[in-house]
Amino acid sequence: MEENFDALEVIARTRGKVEMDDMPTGKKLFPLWGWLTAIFYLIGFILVHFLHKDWGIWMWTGIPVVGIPLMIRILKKDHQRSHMRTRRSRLVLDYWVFAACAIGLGGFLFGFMGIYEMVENPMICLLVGIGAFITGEELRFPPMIVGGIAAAILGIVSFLLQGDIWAWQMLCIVICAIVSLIIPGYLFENSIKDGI
Amino acid sequence: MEFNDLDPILHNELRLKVMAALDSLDDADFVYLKELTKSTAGNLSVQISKLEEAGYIKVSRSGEGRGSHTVCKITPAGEKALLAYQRALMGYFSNKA
Repeated sequence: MEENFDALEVIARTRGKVEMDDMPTGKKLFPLWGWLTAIFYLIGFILVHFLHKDWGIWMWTGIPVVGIPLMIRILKKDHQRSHMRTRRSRLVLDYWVFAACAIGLGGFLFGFMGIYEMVENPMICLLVGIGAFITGEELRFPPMIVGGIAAAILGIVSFLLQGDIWAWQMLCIVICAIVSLIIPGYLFENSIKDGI
Repeated sequence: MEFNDLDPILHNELRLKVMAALDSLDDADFVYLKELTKSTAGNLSVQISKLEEAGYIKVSRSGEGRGSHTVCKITPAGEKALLAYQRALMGYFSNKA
């Protein structure tokens, strides 16, 4: 059967529609991980700096314990609504999975090696910063890009906080979570509600 | 270049829409493709089966009845075929001009 239609136009029009339908999933994940990181690291900072409890560095282990079940719940809800997934959003998701694994693995490894304060906290800021930056690029959302850059700068700052003042690195992570996850997360949610 | 050289599997408006959509996506389910192409479930189902038989898309089905979920994903062969189809079209129009 011979078809009579403008094939190139059909391809271009369909791709255009798909681009317009590209609604990000898991938009609630940014504030979720941001709040958990900020709260657990703030508690860790208080324990280590004010109460001199060295075990405070392990407070971060509470983040995945609380965060993963909540994340699965959010993603399940999103999946019921979302019927497609773009390649770019898949790439961004893959990055965050990689970053989470690197942070988790590094936390245990560097913690047991006794070099936690040297490497782990600056690495967290840097990985979160890169993640926020590429997510912001994917969503074309400047506040997230700026938050990502700020987090990377905080990574360098926290690397300089070595020796007796290393506990302040934990406060850098709290600020990093606020500027790169919590604030851009809420701004993005509002921009979707406003239909921007 | 002859117009007849066009891939007959892709030279169908609905199948081409499905392929163009999946080429831009990681995957998409039946409901999304139905809304996007504004086609009937029966027609879309037939065309998806043809694309699957040609090896251009991979279809994963889960569940049964009303709760069933069909997800489509383009294969490397499908990507190649779509690219070749577009090139053939471009070639046809440039020869015509």
